[in-house]
Amino acid sequence: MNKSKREDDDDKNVLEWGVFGFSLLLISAVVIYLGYKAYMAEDNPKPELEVFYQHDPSEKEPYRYHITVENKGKETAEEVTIQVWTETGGKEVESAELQLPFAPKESMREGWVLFKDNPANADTIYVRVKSYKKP
Amino acid sequence: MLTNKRPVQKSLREYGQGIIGGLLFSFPVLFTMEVWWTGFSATPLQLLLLMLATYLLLLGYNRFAGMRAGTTWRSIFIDSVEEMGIGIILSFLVMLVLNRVRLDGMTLDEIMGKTIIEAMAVSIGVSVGTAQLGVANGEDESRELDEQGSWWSMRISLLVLGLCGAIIVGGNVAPTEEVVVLAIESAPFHILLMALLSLIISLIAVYYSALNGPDKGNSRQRNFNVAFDTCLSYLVALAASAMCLWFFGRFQNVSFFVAFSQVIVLGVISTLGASAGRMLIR
Repeated sequence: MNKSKREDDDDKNVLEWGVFGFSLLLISAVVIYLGYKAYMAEDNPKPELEVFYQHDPSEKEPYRYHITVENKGKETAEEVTIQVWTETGGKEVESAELQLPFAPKESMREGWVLFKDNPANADTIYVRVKSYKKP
Repeated sequence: MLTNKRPVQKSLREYGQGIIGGLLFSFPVLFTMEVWWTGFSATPLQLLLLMLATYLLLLGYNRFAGMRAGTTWRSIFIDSVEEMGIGIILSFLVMLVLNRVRLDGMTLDEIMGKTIIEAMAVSIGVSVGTAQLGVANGEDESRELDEQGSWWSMRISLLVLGLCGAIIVGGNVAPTEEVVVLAIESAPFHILLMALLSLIISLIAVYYSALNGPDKGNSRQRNFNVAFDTCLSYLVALAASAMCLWFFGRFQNVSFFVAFSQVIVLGVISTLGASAGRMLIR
């Protein structure tokens, strides 16, 4: 008796079919996307980091530089250190560092470095990725 | 033809319970940064395996302790899909509110990685919440009847529920650095003590749940079941710990002993999930 009662009660209503249909669609889309990405994945992916800088002064921080790190590789880089320095006559004048916990694969991260002296007085500004590790 | 569809009000109440349960059981994971990081470090294949493992866990939980224990496999498959779907939506919304997911300047891979990893914990929470935050008396009675099943079906039920409990509880701690630190800085003697502590926790939980079990009158049978269930709980906890640690990359480039120690360390918490958690989520 209980069993038949339960089976009747188990008959789905429109709302439940709607939620089920939407869930099935969502899960299918996710599985297809992940399946495609898994199929296209490289064998031994490495991070490919590229750094850009741009003078981005504010009223209180006139020598502030905006740093953008783009990881074009298919592997995440962890503990990324960016070094920015100025040189005059081939000698380093001032150096600043930016540390990012992660640069996810095929993603962009940004930050700022602040100089004490005006970098415009130096010959050149250099920027490079100093180090990172595998997550 | 007479059809007796479930009232919409009842469905809404169950969805509400599921959402609250999903958040209640997964908030520690949603607020753990190591889990967000795994979202963009995990490979698509790992994410697919995680989804498959979670779906199997949902099937197991819904079969043995779900909101309508004893229903047909067709309903169990449908309910599990619904719970996973709700889990994905909930996870995405919480990540959006916490600013861990942004619709501008963040790649689809990162958004999906974070959402899916968190969603799997939320899905199990949705299932547990739906079943536990307001079970009707009639369903309790039918569950009592179900509990009188054969010895083996009881053990399989305990195994699946133990695995769900261990994953929910252990999964909250597995991604943290503390497990590695404890494993590296503990002497073998401490690791042994942790294993013994886990067994004692398991024994206490199993013993007190066995007192109210179907064989409470037969002391010999009960003692055997307590010993068996204690070992089963601990082994399930160790297996769940190893799965969680492997997924979060804790076995990479470490010696066998460090990996083994991590499993034992996490096993202390997972055992609590497998034995006590098993009673709580039942």
